[in-house]
Amino acid sequence: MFLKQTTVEESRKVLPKAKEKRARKTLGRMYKDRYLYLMMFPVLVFFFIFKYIPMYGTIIAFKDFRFVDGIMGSEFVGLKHFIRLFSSEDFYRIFANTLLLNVYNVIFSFPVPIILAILLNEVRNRWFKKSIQSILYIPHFISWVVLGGIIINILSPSSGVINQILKACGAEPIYFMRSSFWWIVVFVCSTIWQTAGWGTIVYLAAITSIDAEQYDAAVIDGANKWQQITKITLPSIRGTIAIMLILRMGQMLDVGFEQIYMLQNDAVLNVSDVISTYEYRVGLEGMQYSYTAALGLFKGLIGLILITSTNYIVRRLGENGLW
Amino acid sequence: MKKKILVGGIACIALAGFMLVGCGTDEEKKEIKELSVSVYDRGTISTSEGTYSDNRWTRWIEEETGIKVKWVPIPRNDAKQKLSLLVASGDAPNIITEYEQGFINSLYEQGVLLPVDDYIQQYSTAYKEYLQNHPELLPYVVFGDGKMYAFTDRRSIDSIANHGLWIRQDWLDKLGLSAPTTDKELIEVAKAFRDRDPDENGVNDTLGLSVIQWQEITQAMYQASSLWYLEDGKLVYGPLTDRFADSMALFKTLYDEKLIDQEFITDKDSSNQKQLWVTGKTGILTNNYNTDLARDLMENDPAARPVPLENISTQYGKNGLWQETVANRYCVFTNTLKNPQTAVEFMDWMIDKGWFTLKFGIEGEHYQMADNVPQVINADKNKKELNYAIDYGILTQWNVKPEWIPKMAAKDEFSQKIAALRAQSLETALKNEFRRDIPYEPAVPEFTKINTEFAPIKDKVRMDVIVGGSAMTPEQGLEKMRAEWKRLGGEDVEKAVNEWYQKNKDLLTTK
Repeated sequence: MFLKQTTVEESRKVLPKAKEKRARKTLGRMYKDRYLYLMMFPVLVFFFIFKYIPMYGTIIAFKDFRFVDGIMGSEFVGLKHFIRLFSSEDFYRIFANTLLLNVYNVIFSFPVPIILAILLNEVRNRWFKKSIQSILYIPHFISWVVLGGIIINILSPSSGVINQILKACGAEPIYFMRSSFWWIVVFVCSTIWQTAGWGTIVYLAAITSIDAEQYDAAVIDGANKWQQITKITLPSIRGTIAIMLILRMGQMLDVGFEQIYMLQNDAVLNVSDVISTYEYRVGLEGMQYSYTAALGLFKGLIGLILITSTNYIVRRLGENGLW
Repeated sequence: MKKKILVGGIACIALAGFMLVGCGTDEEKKEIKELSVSVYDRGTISTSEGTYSDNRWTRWIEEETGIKVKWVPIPRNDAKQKLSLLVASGDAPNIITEYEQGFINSLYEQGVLLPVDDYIQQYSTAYKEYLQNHPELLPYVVFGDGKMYAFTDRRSIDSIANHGLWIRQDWLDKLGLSAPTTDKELIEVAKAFRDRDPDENGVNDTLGLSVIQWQEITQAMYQASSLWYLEDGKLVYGPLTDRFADSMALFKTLYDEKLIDQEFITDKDSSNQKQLWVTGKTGILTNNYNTDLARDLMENDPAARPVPLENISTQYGKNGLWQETVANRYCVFTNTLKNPQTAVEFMDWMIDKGWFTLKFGIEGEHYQMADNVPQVINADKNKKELNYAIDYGILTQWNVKPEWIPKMAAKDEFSQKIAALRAQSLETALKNEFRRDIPYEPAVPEFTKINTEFAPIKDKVRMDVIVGGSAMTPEQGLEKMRAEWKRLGGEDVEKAVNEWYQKNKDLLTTK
């Protein structure tokens, strides 16, 4: 307390009036909320230690990293790994694969939780709503090792359910996992299956915060359900959707390794070889850490660009962005 | 409140400092008898036995040696990745064991390994002697700079043999056929198995083959394994030879003629292949020479008579199926090791005494001596209590003879039957030598780099050839692979590999 007062006293002499006033106000507010700051402190420390300090390891992307020399001791090689990355045709292939799978995912699986949340919101029977929600959440808790096995079995051309149905309808059975086209469809559908239910939580929360009086007023004005959804629910959760979209954009170069690894097979390597499997193969099996660090850094950079530009667009469209 | 946190913080820092100091002085005084060693986790330990890091054998080892060994379980199927991660994060076990020379070599390239020749000279007795008796192992453990970087032991013939073929003798007899000896005959027999209802159930529900490890097996049949072959004084890479196209052609025929499961592509863990074989839907099995699946089949259908099938011959002659090199497991000291004397002591104990008990168990409990060979008392008991211990015996002097196998097995009829089959299978697997022109693969970083990119291309093209119908012939597939290899800079790799060969020619002559 005493210390703080003297600093303010001293600054008064040096600083111009307006600035001084503001500084004093800030300090005063900080003091008033000192317990909040104290509570925030561990989080800041956490981020610093676990998110910022490890960043210094990124410099191995510019070095020829060997275990024995350590991160600092390894030889500095400039952009060698980046040059190799951009001159490798395989890089463009896996880059395109990764991007394509993510574009499909954004187009097809991003809207699903929103639709589900709106549908769930319209369900009036509490018991029914809760049980549907629980059923939708379950896939989120099943690991890909299990889900992958289930999917391969369900889609089996000889014994799988889907093909039994096809056969019953007189159609030829399809070996889904073997065809490059169907494999992508399976990939996107399995993503929806696993993530859509869990994704509804955020949107349901947003919907709950809508003022019920708006609906009452709409009903009095004679609005039907569809009009209520398009005129009240959707506009009210637009902000949430925008934020989720921005966050999703940051992951455009990520494909969950487990999912792809479980679903992949030799016949569809041309569409299923993505950055994460490439990193696994080259980085861990081939022990080329510097090269994969360069790839990781590039991936982060693209993510940053995508997040920033989406944020900009969203703001131009009149929504609140992330910042 | 702030003050309290401050005091707590200072106390923490002081405590940590104190602990660090504590460690420092301990080390200076005397070598601590502690080691950490990697052990394969094959998931075969039962819960009643404990875990891979704590069970009756880890405790036994500690009692016998007086060394506190911390076993670090490494999942067998992801061994390289897990070990790489541990090494990269600085948590490498003091001693790492791994079968793949290439991986050990990349650890050496990374500067993780300690040279061991001085330690052996200084501290070892048993292993020094063992090495003098087995000079053939030296080329495998002396690395680029001429120093020795690993301990290894000579493989027993039962682990030199690896892959194997099996066929249903009862089906052959029923259809009046003899066992196939060439690739053409293999296809004919498989067709007969498919069409002529060998299981006599009146339904056309049988296939020719169950295919496990088919990539390696078909490659070995045509001498086109993923190895470097010496041809006209030059090293050439197996998957780029003309023979590789023929190996693809064989498998393509098997697939096109519907002699194999049409869904083998997604059967990544081979569970479907195993099921087809065990339930008597297929008559030929490509797998390894072990009797596990023959045993399962006979348990399921006592009338079945699976027998080992000698590798078939092709237009290139007859090759053996994959056999390992004489050097067995590589045990290396990593740079986290601070007490080499203790480590060498441990290795000495292992090669001298430890291995025997870890292989055969306790006398009177797991085995008894009969005809001068240790004989199993109760196979079921050993399956639970002993079989997982084998991975703790990181150096062994074990070398079996096929005729010992029935003697070592338990005395009940079924065990004896299986043991006889195993002996026969081992002999069949070793009958033909597997073509391996150089003792180990080129330690050329360019090759490691290209291989991570080339291997998936190879797998994809091969799959396109096999399941693609007439879209791509094996020859076109091979052309495509060669073009891709070239595009990735394969010519430089070939040059580097051959330079390496010229440089190390003398070291590589030991067979």
